[in-house]
Amino acid sequence: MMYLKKAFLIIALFTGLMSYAQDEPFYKSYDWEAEPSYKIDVADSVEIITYKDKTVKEFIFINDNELTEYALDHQIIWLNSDQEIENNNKVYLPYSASTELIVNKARVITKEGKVIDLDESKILTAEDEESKQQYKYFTFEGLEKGSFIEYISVYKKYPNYKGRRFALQSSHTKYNVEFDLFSPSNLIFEFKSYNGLDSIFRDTTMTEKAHWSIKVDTMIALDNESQASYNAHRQFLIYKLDRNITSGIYDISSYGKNAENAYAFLYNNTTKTETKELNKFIKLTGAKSATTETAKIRAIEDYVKKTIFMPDGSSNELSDISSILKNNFADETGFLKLYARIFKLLEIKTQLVMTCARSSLKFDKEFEANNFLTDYLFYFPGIKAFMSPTDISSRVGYPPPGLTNNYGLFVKEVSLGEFNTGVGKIRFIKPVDYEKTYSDVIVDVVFDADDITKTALSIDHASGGYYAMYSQTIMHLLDEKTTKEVVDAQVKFLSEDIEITNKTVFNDNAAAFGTKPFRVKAGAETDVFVEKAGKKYLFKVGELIGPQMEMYQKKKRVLPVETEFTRIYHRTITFTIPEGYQINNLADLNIENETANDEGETLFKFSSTYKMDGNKVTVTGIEFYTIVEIAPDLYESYRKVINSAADFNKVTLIIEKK
Amino acid sequence: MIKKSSVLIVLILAIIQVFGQFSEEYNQYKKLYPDDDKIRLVTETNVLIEVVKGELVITSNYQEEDLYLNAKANFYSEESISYSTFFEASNLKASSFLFEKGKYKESKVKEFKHKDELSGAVFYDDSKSINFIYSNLKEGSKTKLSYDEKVNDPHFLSGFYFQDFYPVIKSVYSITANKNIELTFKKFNTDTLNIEFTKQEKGNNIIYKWVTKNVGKYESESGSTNFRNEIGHMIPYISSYKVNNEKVDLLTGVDGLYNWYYSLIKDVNKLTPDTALVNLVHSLIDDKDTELEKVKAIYYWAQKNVKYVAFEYALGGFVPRNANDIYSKKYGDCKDNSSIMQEMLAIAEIKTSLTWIGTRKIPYTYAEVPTPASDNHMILTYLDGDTPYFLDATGRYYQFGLPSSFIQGKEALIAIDSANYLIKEVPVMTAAYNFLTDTVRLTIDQQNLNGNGRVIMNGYQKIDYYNFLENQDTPEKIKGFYSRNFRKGNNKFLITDYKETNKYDYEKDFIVDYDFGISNYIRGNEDEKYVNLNLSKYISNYKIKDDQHLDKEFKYRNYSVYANVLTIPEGYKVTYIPENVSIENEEYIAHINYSQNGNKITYVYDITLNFLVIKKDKHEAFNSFIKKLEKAFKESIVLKKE
Repeated sequence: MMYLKKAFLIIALFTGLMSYAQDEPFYKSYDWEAEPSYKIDVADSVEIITYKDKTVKEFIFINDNELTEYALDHQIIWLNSDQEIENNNKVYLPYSASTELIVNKARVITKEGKVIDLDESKILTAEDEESKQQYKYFTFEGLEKGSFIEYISVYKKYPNYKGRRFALQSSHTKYNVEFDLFSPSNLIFEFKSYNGLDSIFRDTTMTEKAHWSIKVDTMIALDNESQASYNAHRQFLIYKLDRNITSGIYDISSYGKNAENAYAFLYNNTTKTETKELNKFIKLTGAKSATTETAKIRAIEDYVKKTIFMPDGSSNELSDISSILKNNFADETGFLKLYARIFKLLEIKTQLVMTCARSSLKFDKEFEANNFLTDYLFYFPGIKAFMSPTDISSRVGYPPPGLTNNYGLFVKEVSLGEFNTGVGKIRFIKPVDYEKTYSDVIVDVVFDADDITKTALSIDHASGGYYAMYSQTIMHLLDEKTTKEVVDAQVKFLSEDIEITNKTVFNDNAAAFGTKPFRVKAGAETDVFVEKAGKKYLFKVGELIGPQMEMYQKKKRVLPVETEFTRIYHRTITFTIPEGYQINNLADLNIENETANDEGETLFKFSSTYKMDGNKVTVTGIEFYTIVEIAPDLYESYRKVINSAADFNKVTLIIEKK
Repeated sequence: MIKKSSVLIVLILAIIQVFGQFSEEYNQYKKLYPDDDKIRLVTETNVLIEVVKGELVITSNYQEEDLYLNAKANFYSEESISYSTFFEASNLKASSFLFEKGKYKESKVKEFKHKDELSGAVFYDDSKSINFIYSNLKEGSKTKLSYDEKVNDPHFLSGFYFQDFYPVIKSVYSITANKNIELTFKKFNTDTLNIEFTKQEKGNNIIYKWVTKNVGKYESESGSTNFRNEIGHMIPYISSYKVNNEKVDLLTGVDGLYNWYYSLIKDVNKLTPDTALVNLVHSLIDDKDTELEKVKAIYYWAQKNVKYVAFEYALGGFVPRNANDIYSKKYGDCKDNSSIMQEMLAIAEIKTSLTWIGTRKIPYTYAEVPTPASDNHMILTYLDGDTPYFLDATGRYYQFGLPSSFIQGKEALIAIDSANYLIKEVPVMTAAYNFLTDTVRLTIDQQNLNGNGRVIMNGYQKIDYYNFLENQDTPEKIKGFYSRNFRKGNNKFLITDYKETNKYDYEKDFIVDYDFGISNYIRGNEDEKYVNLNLSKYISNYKIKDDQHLDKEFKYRNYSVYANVLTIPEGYKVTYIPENVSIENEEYIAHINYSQNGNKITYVYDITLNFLVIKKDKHEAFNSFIKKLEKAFKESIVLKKE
């Protein structure tokens, strides 16, 4: 990852351009209050409040035109519960060769106003050669309920200016939230505020440096609702360097360069030996004998994901094609190169897609910044499908769901005469269609003639798409015991207390994924579905669809609900009413609930009905969800559909003597 | 098409077989262990104990050779070796061997990366690791690893495990020591292993050697007792040695261990206590009349005010810090908590004793294993005459007299003075002490069952609730928490209002009153209604799966009562009440009783789980106990319109 970022970064922008005498960096004149007198006036039930959160990013030329970043972080946090003290009493500050920690101080101000400075000698260090990361860490001393912790850290680092996000809002109230950015007056940054945050303000009175700032006196807390993409909805801003007005270089952080660099990184400097080795490797995959483009891609992907391993840490070997093929290890950039070059040799058109996880960030197609380009997919225009280069359980057509329903930068190859390069275009990454992720369950129930509470079940469960992905594609990695658990779970989701008497498993392998369902047919015996009330039997037929989530109405929903993927369920339950008995409440099985959008397209639906043929009853149910992001105004209707399934799950038929 | 290509693959595989894709060795073991990912061909540990310049010098050499039996081989590529101040690793060599063209080709690991382990549980310690990657592991590949380890304190000679998480073909452990070094060996769970032991004199040395072959793998299971209860292993320790013909005692039984332990704590709290600490103690105890009340006050103060942060660097892991230091920092680990309490009580002129103890993870008694392998924790003991009170201030909400749950039933090594100690067993708290009662009044409204309830609890059950409640910081979250934990009937159960009494109190019962509804819970129709009064069926979660074969361990014994009083709706009469149930034996007791009184039906279900461990041979009986209850849970009462 790191390597790719560096390879994409070209720093010819500043050299020789600047010779202004720069002021001292801001942090040198900044300090905490010599005699702190912080006061918080809130109810005692409040557990935590940030009293001050100041961040300063400063870009400055040092040592003969070397652009450097100083990042200052000053926090004062009031802690008023054991839990919050324990959550906040330790601080870990990572640093590395390119990120130097130059100021690091901390203190505690007790409820009574006593100031306890952290002694330098209490700051510990740790090192990890694998991640090339070092840490300074410490605990706050003398903390009790009602104390403030305060610390200031300043990093001096390799500048990161092509798009960074800074979040100002959190799950507790914050006072005095400040963000400042300083830069040499010729380097102009652009900012964008999100989720209701005010715009940043440029301080034009300052001429020796460019200065932007935002201050929020009281930042209200944003509650972390369940199934919400919390980070994506906090108030935050993104900053990026846009232009150098003395040299006249514009669009410094725009995507044009990213596309070119990505292309160059993936394809340039291919050696003949490497091509030979790659061709040899392709032979092993069986892709050559595949007849369709999809089959070729599958063959390559399956073989690579089964044989090449991604270890922790990084080294040059992990992204060098020859080493990868020799050692069977690669890092993320290594995988990108490997796939890109293989597909090129196979003449399969690909586009590298750079995007971000929707749970933390919604790709903004209006504002070009590198922090949107953190995750990678390959797009195959020939079959209109995406593939994840690194997720070993994912397969083409089923990219990690968190990287869908978001925009991305698609890098397409273009030829300019002899010269090939990449051109970027922002496009939407559609979530996989709901009909492709399914769970189809057919259950036939036979009541024991002598004891109706006992039932024999025939269960046929076929799942596909994302429902099968996390089993089919990793089946070969599981041990015997886990394999049995995964297979049995396909049946035992109805109840742990069913005894499987026989079972047949179909398509329990990676090759079948995406084309054939993971399917388990089983016979089982159980007494869990029938209860007694005097002489009557209560047949808990609804439980034959397995437990269903019940959504409760609490406060008014604020954030959209985000689900992992769209999906559909088909259920069929058949049974014959025992001889001499009848059921009078079959109508309870009819449940219907659905919601459509303004265009009349159904967004979510639950529907169950029954049919009788003599004594034989057939219950059929369908349930589906066609969108992954449910806006707050749709929440109530979504809840209704979800709860319809929970209602069905409680349906109990009363079997009584005629 | 698919069919054709799979035939082709089979064909290719067959051809490769002819040329010997795999080694002889692989073929042999693949047959024996078809379901295993890897086997350990050899594990060999050779320990050398010498006396050099009057000091014991201990070096161990470790060697391991593994064979990979399937395509998952490359998932074993990452390897790491742990070390610390006591165990210094050196001379690490590692290689992978790929079988090609009829022979194994070695590739040596060149890059070893060191890492300070920042674990979650311990804030600062000296554990480090060396990490490396075996390249190109494939089915049939082998790996070899060897390294030396210097044991920097002779009290910490490592134990040896004959068994592992994969089959071990050959396992060798040897100790070479001078005749003047007296060693003791304690073996555990080795009855079923065929261990060949030899003792051979060689010059001035004796070579003790244990060899085992073909040891099956140990499979861990969730919820089972610690692996030390199952895995065959041996703990060696040095009892004494001679320097210039003078005998030097090291770990001569519990006395020897105590002498050493005492030397580590003898200088703790020799400083004059800070005035602030003295003042604090007086503010806590001055209005208390009895010694017990004073101990209690200080115990509660420590639980509330000293946060748990562990520092375990070298012997620092064994030496408590001074009370003044802990008082100003307001944090510490188990030893520090014990130290500050001891000093505070000393200010109050009350004598207490630092106490070593092993948590329930460690199955040894001090007599069996008189070495630091027997404990991992420190508490403070206050002796009221002969009655010990075990004070563990690392947690919160522990009532005076209630030991932490993870030391129940364990031996405590209590320091009296330089020459005297006591060993006392920590009590296992009774089920009744850890009680929870849930009393509910129920009414029927159409198909809905509504009601209000009161939960009362204490003991470990209360502490568990408190710990979870600390994370629920809004009324909405608390309501959700109770809706999940007091769930009745099904997930339509919803708490609409609640009131907490004595929340976070250390001694008083914790009480929660709540109103709730379960929509659509009543079965039947206008004419006849079926109400299943078995609303709380948590016991089903205790069921042990068929494929689980190890002893199961539980945090504490407990006792719960669920009483539901249903008001029969006007115009209805009861036509059926299920039978009562009573199951009693030593380890678990349960009753379900129905009774009718006027227009009320009272249902009482009580359950006592009187064990900490369910032995493997009792799984079946325990499951059938649960099944009997589950059968009773399926019965509803019948109400008929008059």
